[in-house]
Amino acid sequence: MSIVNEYNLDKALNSATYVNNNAEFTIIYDPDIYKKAFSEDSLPNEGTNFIEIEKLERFIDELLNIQLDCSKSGWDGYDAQPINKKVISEAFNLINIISSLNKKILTPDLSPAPNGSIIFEWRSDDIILTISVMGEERLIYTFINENKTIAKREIIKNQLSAEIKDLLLKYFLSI
Amino acid sequence: MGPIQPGEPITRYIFQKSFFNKEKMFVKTGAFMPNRDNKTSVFRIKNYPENEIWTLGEKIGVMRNRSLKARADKIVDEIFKTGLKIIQETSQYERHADIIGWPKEPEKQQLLASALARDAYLRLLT
Repeated sequence: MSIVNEYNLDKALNSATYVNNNAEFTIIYDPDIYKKAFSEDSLPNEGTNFIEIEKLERFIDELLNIQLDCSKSGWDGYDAQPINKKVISEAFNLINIISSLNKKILTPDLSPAPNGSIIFEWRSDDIILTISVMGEERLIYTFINENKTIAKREIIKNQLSAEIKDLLLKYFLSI
Repeated sequence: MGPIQPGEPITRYIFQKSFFNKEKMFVKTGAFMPNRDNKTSVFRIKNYPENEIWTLGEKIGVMRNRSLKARADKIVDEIFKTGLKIIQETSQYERHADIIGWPKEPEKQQLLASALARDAYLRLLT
């Protein structure tokens, strides 16, 4: 419950809720609600579509599984740091931001990491984009293709940086 | 076993199901991220029979109270290519080694782990 409460307080939204395994999440899935929540200049391009509820539910299920599996040290069989609630909350927030971009963006894979972060990962052949959150109000992103590598960090805002958006739209749209 | 040689195969045992995608058959970046000691634990599998590779992973899992899910195989040259190093670390297991030389910055670690995961060959425990 604490994750949801933190999130609601941050965003103060009239939003739908999702309940699973005693955890309650708030989901922004309605474009009108989204528009009310964020300022006009933070809105994605016109014609933006929103992620289908089924995909959003799958994401949230994955996050809940990660929370259940990785809440104690050593969850990876080595000496991984636990994934804490702040990280889950930031991952949830990131899902909302990504969901708002374009529904043709490929669905990322989620994975926990031994440093206590959660990594969102897109792959297309040998091209990989990762975005991670560590509960420190910043995100890390990396990109690899044949010609280029990127490894950067930035403060989490209500939208992704232009560079990340460009990468997602250039390399990770479904046909 | 002697020093690690170019062309040598190694494996990363995977005890966490979120570290791979079994539908698309790839290893995720998180599987290669270093631990708190800034090392990624791997095992040398040259001339090691397939069934024994799995048996060793399962034994390690039992000791750590985790069940083995899969493994990520690589050739050491792919590790050297990233600028990382690999050294023998045989205090518990003769075949054990560590990937070392990880940078301190988490974004650089994530990039290198991503490069290692990209070339890794996922093997599922059947």
